[in-house]
Amino acid sequence: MILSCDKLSKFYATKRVFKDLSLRFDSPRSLLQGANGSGKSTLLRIIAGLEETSSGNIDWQATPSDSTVLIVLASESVLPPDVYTAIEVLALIERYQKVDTELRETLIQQLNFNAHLHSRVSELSSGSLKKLLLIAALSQHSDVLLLDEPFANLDVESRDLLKDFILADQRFQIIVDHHRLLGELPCVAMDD
Amino acid sequence: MFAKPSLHTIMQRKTKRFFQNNRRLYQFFIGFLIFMGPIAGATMLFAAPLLGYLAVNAVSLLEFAMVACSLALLCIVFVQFYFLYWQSSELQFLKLSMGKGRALLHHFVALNRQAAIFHILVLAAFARIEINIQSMIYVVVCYLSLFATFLWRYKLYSGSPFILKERLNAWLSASSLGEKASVGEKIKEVTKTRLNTKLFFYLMRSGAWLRALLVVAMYVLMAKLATSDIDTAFLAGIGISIMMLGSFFVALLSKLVQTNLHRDMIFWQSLGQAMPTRLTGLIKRVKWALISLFPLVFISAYLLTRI
Repeated sequence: MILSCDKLSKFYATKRVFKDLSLRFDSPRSLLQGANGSGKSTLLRIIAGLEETSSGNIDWQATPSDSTVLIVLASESVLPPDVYTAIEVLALIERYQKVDTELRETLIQQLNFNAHLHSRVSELSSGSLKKLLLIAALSQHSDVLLLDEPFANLDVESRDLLKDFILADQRFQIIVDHHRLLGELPCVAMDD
Repeated sequence: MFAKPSLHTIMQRKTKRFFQNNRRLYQFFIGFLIFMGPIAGATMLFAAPLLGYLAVNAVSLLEFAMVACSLALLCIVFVQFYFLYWQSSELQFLKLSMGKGRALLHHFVALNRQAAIFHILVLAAFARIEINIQSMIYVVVCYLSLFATFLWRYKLYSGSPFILKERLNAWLSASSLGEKASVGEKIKEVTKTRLNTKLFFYLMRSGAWLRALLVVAMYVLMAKLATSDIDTAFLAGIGISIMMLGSFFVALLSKLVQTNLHRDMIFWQSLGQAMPTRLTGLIKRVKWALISLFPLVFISAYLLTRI
């Protein structure tokens, strides 16, 4: 699978996030690089189809025959409403998306997330919230997995554990990771 | 060095921005005021002394309680219109910048300036009733209702949790989940009804309940009107004015529910396009159903009493 972004531009009112951005992701797992504020999270949301571009095209090549690309994004810019508890968020996702329940259960047990299942999203610490987003994203069926700073705010054990799960995942992945905890991966730079 | 803007200046700027953002809603409201304002005003000026008269002449506690409830509803309308353009972050900011007590006082004074019609309503009662202990109690009850409603809404808008809602959420979360079940089973046990109930509460927050209450009150008024013995010409005129006011409240309710939905739109979209499209469509359908219910309530009540 290959993803090509051709002359993408994004503006919020008068603020320019990026302009005429052309990128190509041709490795199964790529690191998206860029300085703070260069628009990495915005680009991930655009690739996930959650935000419109101001101009430019996104093109998926060599996709499966049915040509619908299912994309999952784990990012703190896609937070669930704070009225729901963690368990309700997982149930809500299961209601609308296909989920690998076995993998989800393993992740919950190994990340010690059991104790937080009945906490509301607004009551979760930033680390627990990150765990919830990653459990939801890793256990959902999709062709593409987008991860925005997956290791931020996590303790060392959880980081190591999630690193193994992410590396074992066979989906096409684009990852924003400033700490480079996943080792040497092909990089795609956003800077001009 | 810049001087700090006063609350009055901030309110003026906010009001201007609020009008710009809600232009269509205000066009409808201004239209309503031009055509139906005199009728609504006359009704209120007639109803206020009547309310005072009923309060002073109440022979039972139940009667007085009903008058107090009507007063509380009036207070909610005035206070809610004031807080309609304040957001909790702005109230918190003002609390921090001018001190907790001063911010509260400033807002209460500003509300009283804006709620001039409320004072007219209370004082108009004295044009018709005697000044005695009971009428004094009536005035005290009026202002206590206004102050209590203001404190309640101010606390809520400035970010303090609504204890009843918190308890309800805790109860909803705690119910139906067995401790011994596995995680997968626990997630499966989260029923569709529970998720829908939470979604409903989520969409109805930030004062949507009050707007819904006003819509219900308009239905009650419509039914009461249809069962009264007023001349047909007046019946139609008052009926149309109630329907227009009711439609305005429905529009307010629908707009607020949509704003609540859009707050986390990116999450709903992440569940697939079908979910937000279905919800937006549902909100629109409910809006039109609520509006079309007005003539239906009128016709049903009219036919029931006359056939």
